[in-house]
Amino acid sequence: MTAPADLARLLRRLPIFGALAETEAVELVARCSTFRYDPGVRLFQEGDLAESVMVIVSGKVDITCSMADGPEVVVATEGAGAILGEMAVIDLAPRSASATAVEPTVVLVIEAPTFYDLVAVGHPAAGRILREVAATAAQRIRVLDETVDRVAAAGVPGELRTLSPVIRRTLT
Amino acid sequence: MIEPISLGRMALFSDFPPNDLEVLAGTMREREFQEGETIVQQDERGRNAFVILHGSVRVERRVPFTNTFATISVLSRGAMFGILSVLDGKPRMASCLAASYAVVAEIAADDFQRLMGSTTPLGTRFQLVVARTLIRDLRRTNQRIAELAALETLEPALLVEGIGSPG
Repeated sequence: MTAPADLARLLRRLPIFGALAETEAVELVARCSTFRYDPGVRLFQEGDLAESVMVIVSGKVDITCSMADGPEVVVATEGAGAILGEMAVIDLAPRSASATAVEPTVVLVIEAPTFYDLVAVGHPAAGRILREVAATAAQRIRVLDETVDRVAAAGVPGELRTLSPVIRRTLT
Repeated sequence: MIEPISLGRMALFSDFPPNDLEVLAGTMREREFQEGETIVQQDERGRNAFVILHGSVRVERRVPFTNTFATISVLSRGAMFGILSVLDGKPRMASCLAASYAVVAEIAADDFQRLMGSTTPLGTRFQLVVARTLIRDLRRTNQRIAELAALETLEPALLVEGIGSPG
């Protein structure tokens, strides 16, 4: 297992937590748990209730979406530093995609109640995640909007077919 | 004058402590709109964000390449709108009109941005409310896009319905 001090140092190297003071990163780590996943093991499943925010410490994770007319498709592969599952925790929705370890993977897990405790006390880690999420959601809404206008001009919805699953990665 | 207690009764702000509700109410201004009046105009700059205190608000977007409008959604008491352009500085994505006599709490863009940048518990709670509102808009829009993607051809008006964020 990675030592708490090493985890705190690693978190502060991530762009999203770079502004955290050392004590704030240590406090965050103290409130979280770390989990190790073997290749092939699911971190979470599409449709499940969102119970935690996850930060990949090391390893690789495939994000997959089930499609109406076929097998699951991989919409992204995420590595160290990626945050997973924060949006569904924030808007209290089911997971929009599944996450599966493809290498031995270690994740830092912020359980949903802990995340809401961090919001209530104004912990900077919560603020950083929320501001990032707001900016990302706004940017994706704009992208969808622009795509719809382009598709309206063409009259053919082909471009929408690839777009929607990609956005579902964001919405985990 | 906005009563802090009336903000606290809405699901959006129900977990805000009384002190924070007071501060938040102090940054807001109450405005009334008659049925049919425009609150937010598509393509304009976002100078304010709003929370509905009473009544309902219709969100509509121009159908590309036409002079017609399609309704995106109808919002009711407790909904926040007009935040997208205040957040990203780009033009309003949609127009918002009073669908009935409506009373809204208005927050100016600079106060909104101050709260979004704040590291206080109030700021963080406010960021949660904003993030949650935008994620839901994104989820609804993406769901709609997945439905449209299954179609063979598209009418422009059909494309606009349900897409996007209120302002």
